[in-house]
Amino acid sequence: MPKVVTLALKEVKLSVRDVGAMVTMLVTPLVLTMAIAAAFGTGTGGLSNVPLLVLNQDDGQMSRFVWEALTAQNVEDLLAAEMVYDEADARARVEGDAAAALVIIPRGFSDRVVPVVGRVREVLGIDLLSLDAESAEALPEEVQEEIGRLVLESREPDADAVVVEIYASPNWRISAGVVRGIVTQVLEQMSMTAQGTTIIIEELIARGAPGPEAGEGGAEWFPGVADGGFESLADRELPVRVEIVSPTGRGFRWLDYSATSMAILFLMFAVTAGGRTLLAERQAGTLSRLLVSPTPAVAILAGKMGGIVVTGLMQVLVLWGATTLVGSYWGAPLGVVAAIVVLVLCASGVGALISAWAQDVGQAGTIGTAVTLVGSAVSGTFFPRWNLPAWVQNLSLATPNAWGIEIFSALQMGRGLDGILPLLGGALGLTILYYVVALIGFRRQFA
Amino acid sequence: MVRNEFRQEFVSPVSVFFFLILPLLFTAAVAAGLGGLSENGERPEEFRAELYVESRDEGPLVVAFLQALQEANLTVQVVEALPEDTFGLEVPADFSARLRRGEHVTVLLHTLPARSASQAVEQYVNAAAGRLAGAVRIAQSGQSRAQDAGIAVGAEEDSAFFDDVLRRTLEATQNPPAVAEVRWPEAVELAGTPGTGATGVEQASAGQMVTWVQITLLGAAQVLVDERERGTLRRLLVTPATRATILGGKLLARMCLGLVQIALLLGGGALIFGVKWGEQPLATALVSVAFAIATVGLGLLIATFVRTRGQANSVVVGGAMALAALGGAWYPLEVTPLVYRQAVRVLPSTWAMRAYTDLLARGATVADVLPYAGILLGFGVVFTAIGMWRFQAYE
Repeated sequence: MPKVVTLALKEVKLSVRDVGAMVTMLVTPLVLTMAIAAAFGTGTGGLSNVPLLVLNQDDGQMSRFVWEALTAQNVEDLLAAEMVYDEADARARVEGDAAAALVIIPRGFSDRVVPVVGRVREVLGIDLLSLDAESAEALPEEVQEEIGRLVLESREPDADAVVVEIYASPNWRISAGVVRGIVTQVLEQMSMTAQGTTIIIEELIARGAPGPEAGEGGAEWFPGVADGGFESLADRELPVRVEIVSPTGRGFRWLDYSATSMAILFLMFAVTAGGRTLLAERQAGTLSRLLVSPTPAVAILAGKMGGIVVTGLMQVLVLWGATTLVGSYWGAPLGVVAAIVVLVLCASGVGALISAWAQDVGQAGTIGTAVTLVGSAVSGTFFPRWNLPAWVQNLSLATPNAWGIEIFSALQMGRGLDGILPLLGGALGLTILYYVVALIGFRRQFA
Repeated sequence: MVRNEFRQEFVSPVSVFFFLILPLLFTAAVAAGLGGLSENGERPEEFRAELYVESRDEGPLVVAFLQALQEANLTVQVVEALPEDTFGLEVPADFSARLRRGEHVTVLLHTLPARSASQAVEQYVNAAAGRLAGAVRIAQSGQSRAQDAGIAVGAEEDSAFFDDVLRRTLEATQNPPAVAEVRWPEAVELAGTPGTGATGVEQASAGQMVTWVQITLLGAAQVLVDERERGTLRRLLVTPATRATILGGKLLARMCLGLVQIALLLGGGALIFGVKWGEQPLATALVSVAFAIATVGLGLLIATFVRTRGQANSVVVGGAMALAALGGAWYPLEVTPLVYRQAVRVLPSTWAMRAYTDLLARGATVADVLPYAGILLGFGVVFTAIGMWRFQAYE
């Protein structure tokens, strides 16, 4: 068996037998990936079962549409809404973190949102919202005329907006924002339906339609607007649909991102630790013995680095398989294999660089850990790297972590091997640079 | 013993790098990553995303849609063909015609799966589409009324009626009769608006402190294993000093180190990142001492399970990171499922994070954090008791 292979296999054996190394190489990244899988799930992640309280102080009919929006089928997994009746108790529950937020629909809400409904009920005793087009047309002409007049009369464009308060716990800020988004959307649709009715009547009159004074318009228009007025505001199908398309048909998933970024982080820990073995051999005097043997220095070095590369490959391949089992997606297999090979080579370059220039094992350990951690911080191992300032993103390209995240993100976006070739080229360029500088250091050491 | 531990910890100036500089660097990076600190000081809620739109329809409905997209925090660029690696929207050529005919229309949003902004972009586009669609329904309904009344006769008039109602309805949404407003409990002062929250820097400062201080505090395991490997622990145990004194001294020293690190990181967080750590000093101190006691106790327990310093190093670093991630130090626990939130209550890091975020978010007082401190002390007592019991068979 060639000496290089023998030396490499020895390094691999030593790593595999070291319980501490196995914890760093496999157990910790797997535990962290599992934690992220548990936290965000294998779907797109995010909020679920947000405990929400709703207090309805309004005595009109429009508030029920807010309740319907908060309990609609499309948000039933997101929100766990509960109707409450005691304001003080509900506020205390939010303050005590037992609920994320309390939505308070204030008194007079319906009258402000759709004033005509209240006015018609008050003046004519008719419930506009319960009318369908047929029953509206059956109303006597004088009633229709009065309703038309009330529609135009009850406009209050300059009145202050009524506030639906979302009393939120500061520990549930993201949820509070989501609830605000849902309530805002239903208020907007409600407002559009109500104001749109008035606008239609005004436009019809402006174009010569007989107005309420002439006995036309009003009741038969109101409930018929927008296919049933306010009914099913929460879940009706709107005419513009947004279809999300992505190369893989997948959205951003923390699990995918974290599985690969954690694998690179712990690969870096492993290879920088592996690089220390050369210094350990020197400190123990075994390197001198090797050097006086007929084995050339290059073979010793290649064996050492080969062992580190093989160990790194095994580590990342195991992590790929294990994290795939919990639902993470790394990309098309061919591209993933190529990426793993290039990244392990690149990371081993960092290990070589450190072992070539460090004075002793302790110093190499400190530098290795520092380089790994700083590299992970500036590359975006723990959060999407695209959120970092552009100059930090560029600076971080001096680390294998950044290249790894870029390459795996491209693969997760659906690119194949050909699509990541430029990125692989960049990582290989960095690898060559690391090894050239490392070789200068090794020449000095071996001399 | 305490003095000796401090001397040994800082024998190399590199220790300062791991003890203070690296945690602060991580705080800055994570805060930037979470959106709290960015190049131009932009807050997450002010986040505007760039959206390329490919549309072969130049009708008023597309113009209205583009306007709605702009108002929904998107910077829109109309292009001939969507560039790669960008958020893009494909609007079909018959967009306006189909909506006018009362038909449904689908627009294609090309997302970038690996970009966290994709969720925000989807939300913005859906909001804009919802607004336009609502106005289109009103305009369609009005158009049908106008036709019934014999007012909008001919394609041109019909179309003009539709456009006028659509435009006025969209304008009316600028002045809604009802708005939703988020309000916080009285003592709470938040710099940001809800949604993405002002959590970037605060979450990063509290989270990174818990992460890095755990490494220091769990380091009690490394110290004990190291002493055992070198044989110095055996020597200490045969001295007249009691086992409790030796262990107590070691653990106290580690705890003091952790508390010094907490103080430095709190100071750094306040001075460098403007996090309001100083508002409740007594409550902060109480939480920190309780957290230190719990975690040092866990370090003692770990020491009784691992055999070598290498194993101790791996378990301490990996354990600290895993505990931090699970306990909400890396991401807010509110984004996790209910069962997850309940399960991680068995970890001290969860309670430490809750206490620290309560101090920041609510200005919690000593009385408010007492339950958290009590739970953390409970963890400390349990871990230390089991650790001491196992320590009998340690040597």
